[in-house]
Amino acid sequence: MKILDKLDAFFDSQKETEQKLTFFFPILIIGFIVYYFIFPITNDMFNNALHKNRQLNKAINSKQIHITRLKNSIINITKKRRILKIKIKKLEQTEIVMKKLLNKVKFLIFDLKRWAEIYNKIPKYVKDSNLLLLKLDNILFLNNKKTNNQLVNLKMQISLQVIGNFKNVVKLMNSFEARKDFVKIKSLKTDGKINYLTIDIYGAEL
Amino acid sequence: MLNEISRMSRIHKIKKYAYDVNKVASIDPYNFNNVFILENNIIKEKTFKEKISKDTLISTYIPLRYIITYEMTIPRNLVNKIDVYDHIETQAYEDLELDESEKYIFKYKLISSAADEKNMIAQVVIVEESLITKYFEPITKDYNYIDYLGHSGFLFESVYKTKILKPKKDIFIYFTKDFTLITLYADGTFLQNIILNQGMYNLYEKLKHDSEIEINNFSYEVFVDLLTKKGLNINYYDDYEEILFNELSIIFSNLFTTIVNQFNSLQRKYALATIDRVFISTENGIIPGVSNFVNNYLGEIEADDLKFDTKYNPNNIEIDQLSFLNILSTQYAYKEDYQLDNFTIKKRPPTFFYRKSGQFISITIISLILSLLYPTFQYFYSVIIGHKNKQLEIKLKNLNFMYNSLNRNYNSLLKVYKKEKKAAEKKDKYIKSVAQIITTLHKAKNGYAPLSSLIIKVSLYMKRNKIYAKDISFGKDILELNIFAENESYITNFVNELVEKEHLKVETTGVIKDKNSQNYISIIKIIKVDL
Repeated sequence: MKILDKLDAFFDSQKETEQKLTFFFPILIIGFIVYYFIFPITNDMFNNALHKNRQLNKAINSKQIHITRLKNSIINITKKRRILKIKIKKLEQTEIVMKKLLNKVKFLIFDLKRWAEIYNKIPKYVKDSNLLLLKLDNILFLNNKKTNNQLVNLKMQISLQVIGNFKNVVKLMNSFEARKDFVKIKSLKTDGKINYLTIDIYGAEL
Repeated sequence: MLNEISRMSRIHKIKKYAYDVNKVASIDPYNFNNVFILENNIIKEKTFKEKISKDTLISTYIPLRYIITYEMTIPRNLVNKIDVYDHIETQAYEDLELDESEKYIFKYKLISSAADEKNMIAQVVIVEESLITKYFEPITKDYNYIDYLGHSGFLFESVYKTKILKPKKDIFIYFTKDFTLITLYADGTFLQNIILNQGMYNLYEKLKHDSEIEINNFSYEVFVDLLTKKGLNINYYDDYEEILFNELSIIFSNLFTTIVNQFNSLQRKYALATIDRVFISTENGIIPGVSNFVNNYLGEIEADDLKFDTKYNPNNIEIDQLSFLNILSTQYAYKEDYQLDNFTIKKRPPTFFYRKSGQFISITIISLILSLLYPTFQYFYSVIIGHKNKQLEIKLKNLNFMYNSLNRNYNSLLKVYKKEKKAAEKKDKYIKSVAQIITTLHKAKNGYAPLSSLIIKVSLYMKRNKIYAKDISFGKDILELNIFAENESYITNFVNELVEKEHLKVETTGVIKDKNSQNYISIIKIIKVDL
């Protein structure tokens, strides 16, 4: 109360104009202090908080979009896996069928052991055909690359020189060609005495 | 801004002064500890130290020793032409030789007397401000202000204002220790007061020293006690005390002789035909029997005790009548906004918003609030957003965790899917490859036309056409026959049959007759065609 009394006394000692100025003075001072010292601090706080808020919201929205996409991707991939599993199952069934089919044509598949067996049987074929074997050679072509145009890329070339009736030579040829294996007579030459026979045995590389 | 605040104060009915006219406290000017409070028209007594509510009007009255009474005449025709106050002040300073370095408070009443048609009488009461300021300092220190500071002579007007008395020509006699106050009112209007320098102490001195009786330990207090308990009522005295009563009666008779002289003088001065009533009391209470005594003495004038608080004092609290009248005067002054008789040296300040200091502080606070409004909003909003941001950060952290978890899950699934897809593709490729191989092999195997079959077939046609081969060769899918026959037609027929019947592609070098053997020879080329 004493402060109020002192203030009252102070104002009473002033003229009206001076009073108005005195009343205006704190407004100026407060305005100055607030807007030069306090406002920049709170404004920075406010803007920083808002900026951070926007950034966080943006990040959250972006993350939510990513999560949604990721969830969709997981759903898609799960769906794809389900389809793939069905496809794999079908492929497995097809593979079984293919393997069965392959088993049926296994003699057309490259098998060196089998070729060796054929090679071993040649003297017997010659003998059974009443021919005399003069010479027997074989060359293996195992480095040929398989291409779409040439799937049956491997072969064993057998060269024979036999003496005997041509009719028996034909019989010998037939005994080769009658085999299940993929056999082709590559060349034949006879001069009445010696018969030159070149046989290709093919095998496909899986 | 100041006007605006004042206007707003009025709009919102903010009282200019925070008092309640129904609550008045009168502080005994001779003992500041004695405080009488009128609340809801009931008098209560409170000690000085007890708390009095802020809305109670604080009042007291000026002791007679600080009062200077002064009287002057002002021509009636000048009253409305001059500044009466200035005129009185100037005249009083001159006539009373007042100290010009001191400040005096002047209160006056202009009285029109039938005895003087040309002039008006100004009854002036003067108080030296510094004296009463100092005297009432304990009150102003405790309460900060005195709402009403009355003058004893003016206080009696309240009995007419409150209709305790009907207006007549009345004289109020009030004894204090040192003075006797005689106040004249005519029809409710103050006419004059006279302060006699003879008070109760003077009577005591006379009784003690001038009378024939001697009383042991007869102090002033004993005298006051005697006066207020037995007074002038013979019935209260024992036989042996009769002499005391007689002495007292003589002293009062002498006093009243003086007073009656004053009455006569006043009657003449104001051309009053008669005085109707006299009211008598002391600062210590009424004097028993004084009214009868005065009645006997004054004859036709009705005398009575100066005691007007009966209606307001159901609890019979001992209150001096000037304190009571001061309460009534204060109440009237604030109810009717009549401040002409108020000598206060320190008025109650207006309420906060009506004070300059209050307005200044209000403007400062409002400026502070207004200027801080936006920064405060920013601050608190920042705090709120900061809190939300923390929650958002937690949410983002959770989302990141969820995202990472889902991403791991997705990558794991993708890896498995790719692996499975690769395996499926491999299987598919393998199956396709196997299918292609099977188809190719099947086609190659079944499409191959056996050479032995071709040779047998050709041999049959050779035999039928009597064709003989010199040599046979096969290469590059061409079966070359070096043949001979006895007749050329055999050869041509043979070729024809191969083409016509077996649909073979046959080329020939032509048929030539061999001069040595007389056979026809030819080289036949049969192109072996696979299916």
